[in-house]
Amino acid sequence: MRNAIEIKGLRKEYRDFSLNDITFSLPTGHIMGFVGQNGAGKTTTIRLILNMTARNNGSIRILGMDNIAQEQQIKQDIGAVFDDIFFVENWKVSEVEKAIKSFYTNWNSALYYQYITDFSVPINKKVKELSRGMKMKLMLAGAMSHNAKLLILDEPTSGIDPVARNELLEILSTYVSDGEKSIFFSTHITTDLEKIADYIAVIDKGDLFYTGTRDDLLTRFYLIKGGLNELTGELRERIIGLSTYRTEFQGLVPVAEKTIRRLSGNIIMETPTIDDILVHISKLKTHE
Amino acid sequence: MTAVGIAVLAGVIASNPPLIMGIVLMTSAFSMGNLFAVSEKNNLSTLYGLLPVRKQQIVIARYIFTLLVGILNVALATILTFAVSFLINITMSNLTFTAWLCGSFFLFCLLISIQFPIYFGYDFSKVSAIANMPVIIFFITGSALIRKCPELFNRTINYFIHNQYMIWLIGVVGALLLLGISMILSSALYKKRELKTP
Repeated sequence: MRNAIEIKGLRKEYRDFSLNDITFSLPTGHIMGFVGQNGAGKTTTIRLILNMTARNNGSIRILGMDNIAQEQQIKQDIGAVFDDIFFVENWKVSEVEKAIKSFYTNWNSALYYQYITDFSVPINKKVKELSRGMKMKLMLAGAMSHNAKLLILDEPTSGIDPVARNELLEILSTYVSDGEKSIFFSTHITTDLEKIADYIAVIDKGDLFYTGTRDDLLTRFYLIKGGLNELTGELRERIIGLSTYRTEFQGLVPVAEKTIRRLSGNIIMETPTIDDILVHISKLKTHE
Repeated sequence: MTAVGIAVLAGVIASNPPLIMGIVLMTSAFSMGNLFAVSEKNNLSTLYGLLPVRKQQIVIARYIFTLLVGILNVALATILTFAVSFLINITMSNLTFTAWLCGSFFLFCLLISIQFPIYFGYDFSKVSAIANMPVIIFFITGSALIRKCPELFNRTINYFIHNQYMIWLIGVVGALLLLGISMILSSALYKKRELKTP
């Protein structure tokens, strides 16, 4: 099975931030959520994938092709959506189609207008007159109307209402249903991942913490909770990203550490959410 | 349209219809920076980064578009010049018309050749004031030189009077060469530039 995205040893250095040795793959026909807090390196990674910025090291293959050597070919087969519109604000929705269709050999005008109709985007309105959710849908219509085999979305659901967000997630789920198309989307809204992502990559301060299936991630850790009086020295050492509150503590422990229960009888161990994992691994980095 | 109106008014008041060509083309050259302003305001660098198009093609397209605008403005300014000449009953010699036409077109191309590499290399909002500085320095230096060395200026004028084909050669061919060199520089600068995302 060919991978839609293959990244190995990706490195990018800025003055005050660096992306370090990022390696992950997205199998064709699946959805990968790329999650991390603000400033973790999600958008930088996406910009590197799209060759909008030069990398310092590593390799990126998109749909089996090198993302620099075969950039134009790749971009015929990918679509992207960012969290802000990138069309001229005075263009009407119909003019957006006219502006971009000639760049794509596989552009399908009927499909574009089908999406516009399905998404209820008003054709004669100017881009600047659209709501945030409508702008997202417009960008998505543009991204999906040339039979793109890979969609790359950078925080597509941030700032839109829950109803529009749910609609967007349904659209994305339908898009990959034929098994030929893939979606890579970055987000810090982890509930979106829990709804549609098959694979997850977790990035924290430029380092890749985890890559693999969503289910595997959630079964890799326990969320451990207990009263402060339960927090022994040995327990403290084993917990990842310890958080202490007025009367209780919380943290993560690897599933392999299930013997930890012996250290304190009244602690609770439960399956974490992706949010829990993000919160606690970020604390781990802060304390290192 | 305002610039055209001002140009016509200036040509009439100065009783020098060819002045219209100079003003129209100069204004047009300065206003071409708006392409970059619109592009920056609307995050078009993101769109360019997503489309299957090379950065060099974007640069070439913008220069071609600008050149076409320049040619259209030359045509418009020429028509207005003749119209105003006729209306205010002023006769232009061939030499005067040629000098103003080619000189205006050369200035248009010179301005674009200086500004565009700066705009392609850096954000418009950060360099729009600086991009006009080389042009202003050029004019100040040129004016000072003419005042300091009037004999040199007169000799140059005489040369062109006796070799009118050189007005066309420098005014058109030279201008296009300048644009070509500028385009190569713009391509090199734009290629190195990271495309922004919103």
